[in-house]
Amino acid sequence: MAEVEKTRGLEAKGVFFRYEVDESEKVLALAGVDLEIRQGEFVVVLGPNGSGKSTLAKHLNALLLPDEGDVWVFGMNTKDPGLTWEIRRSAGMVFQNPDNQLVATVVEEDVAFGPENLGIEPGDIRTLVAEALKSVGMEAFSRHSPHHLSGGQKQRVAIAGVLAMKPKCIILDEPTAMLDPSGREEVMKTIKRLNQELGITVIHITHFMDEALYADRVIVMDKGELVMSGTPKEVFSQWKEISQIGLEVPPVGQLSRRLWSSGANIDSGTLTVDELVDELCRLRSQT
Amino acid sequence: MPIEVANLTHTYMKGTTSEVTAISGISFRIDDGEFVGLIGATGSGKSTLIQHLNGLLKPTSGKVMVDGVDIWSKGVSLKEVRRKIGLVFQYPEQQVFEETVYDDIAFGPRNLGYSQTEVESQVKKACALVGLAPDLLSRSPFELSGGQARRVAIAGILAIQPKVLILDEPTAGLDPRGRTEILDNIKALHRNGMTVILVSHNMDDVARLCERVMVLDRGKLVADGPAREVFSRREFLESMRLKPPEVTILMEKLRKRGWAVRNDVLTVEEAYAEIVEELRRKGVAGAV
Repeated sequence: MAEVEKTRGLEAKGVFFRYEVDESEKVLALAGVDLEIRQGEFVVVLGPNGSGKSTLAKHLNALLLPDEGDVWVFGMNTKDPGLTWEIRRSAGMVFQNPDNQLVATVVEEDVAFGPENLGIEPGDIRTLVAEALKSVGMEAFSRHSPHHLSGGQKQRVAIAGVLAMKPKCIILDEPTAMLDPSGREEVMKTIKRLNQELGITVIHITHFMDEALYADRVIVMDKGELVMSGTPKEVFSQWKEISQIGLEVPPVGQLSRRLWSSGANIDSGTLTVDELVDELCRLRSQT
Repeated sequence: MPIEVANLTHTYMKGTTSEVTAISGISFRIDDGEFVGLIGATGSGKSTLIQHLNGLLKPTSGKVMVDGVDIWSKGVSLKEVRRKIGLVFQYPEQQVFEETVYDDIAFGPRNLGYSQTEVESQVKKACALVGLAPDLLSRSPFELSGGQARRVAIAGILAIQPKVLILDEPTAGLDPRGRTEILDNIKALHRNGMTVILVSHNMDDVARLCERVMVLDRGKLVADGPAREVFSRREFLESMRLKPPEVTILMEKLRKRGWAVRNDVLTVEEAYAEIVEELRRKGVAGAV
């Protein structure tokens, strides 16, 4: 039994959730979600505004509890109040606005905030903080004030704050929405590295379709339901459904599809610049 | 109503130990009907600059002239300047405070002392311009979707009938459909004669819409030219923590592999046309 528990990732079964607008009105935010995320998986969640992405994310670290159905985080049912803190420690969350997440006046104090709350020994905290900052490439800034950092650096500090709690999973709710192009890339590369090198499970919510290309698996939410799940290529190949939901195939994917549909003999599901360059050069040399 | 900025410098907390020069030595002119994109990394001074254009910030040195008049000279009504040059801030829905959408949009015209009937007609016109259904007017602004809330904020500025519209990150946080709707609204406003200044981190949006692009880097205006020209300078942009659109990078990489395609392509449609033409020139079978 213990062995089985160890390998369980994050699971949602038949989850319904309603938000209370006022006393008389409730809105269905999750309408029967079934989802299984393996340990070590990098999952990107796409979906229009109001599709239930954030509500789902908050269920995965017990910030919200299902009205119906169950959520298990590494084998722990989120409805068990005795497990709430252990669940939040193992599945940490990073939010959109870095300025609302950083509380201390010095970077390392900010990162130490979580472990301090867990009552960890000061000596161990120092080690945890140093390791966490190193993992996000911010060790040189440990004595800096967070307020003078760029947006991407602030988000990396916020990620380090979660890492210092030694989580198995990080849930990021639109962490790149407010960043400039390099800040966005910094954050995406950082979480990809944490996933690949430390084996941390990543659940990344975004409106930027190109960020889906970092994922092992993309899931798409619409009106509270999970409507698609697959590799980036599989999901974006359903371009009609994608656009009906109000999402978009990334620009390079749109171009590949257009070229393919007008007769160019290339893979219509090509999504990245380098792959399309290779495809096109292969085609061009066939003369 | 051209806007001219001459040698503009702004230093926050001047004369204290924490003084910071946010922008320095900036000069440019924007003419009627232009569609200008303003790009730059976080902290490059974009917000400081646009707040000078409608007199929310006073230059530490240099001038801001609207219609040939220095807006900080004696006798100029800053209220009138702010009416003519409308500024939509980032995440405007966070500043919504009225009880109904109507009251929120009516705030500006009421503040300017318009009559009841004038206010009503301006609110209706503004809603039509951004495609807001009239039945939303009686709702609470807090019940709106992200895209609707953003349009209400833009309508609130349009209701004071500005000649110039400055938008700071109007699509941040919106889903692709919400983004396209807002951008279509802005495009239509421009087509009808509005001068538009778009501040954005989304290079695809800027490339698709703006004719002219200005680049700020650490408080200095480091490039100002046609969008095509600016976005074809990849290394330059990357040194500024920016990036051309993906399709522009694609064309550059194809050129490096010997393709005779343009390097100043900005949209999927343009890239498609260039690639098809090259394939035809090379006689690649199957490429229509």
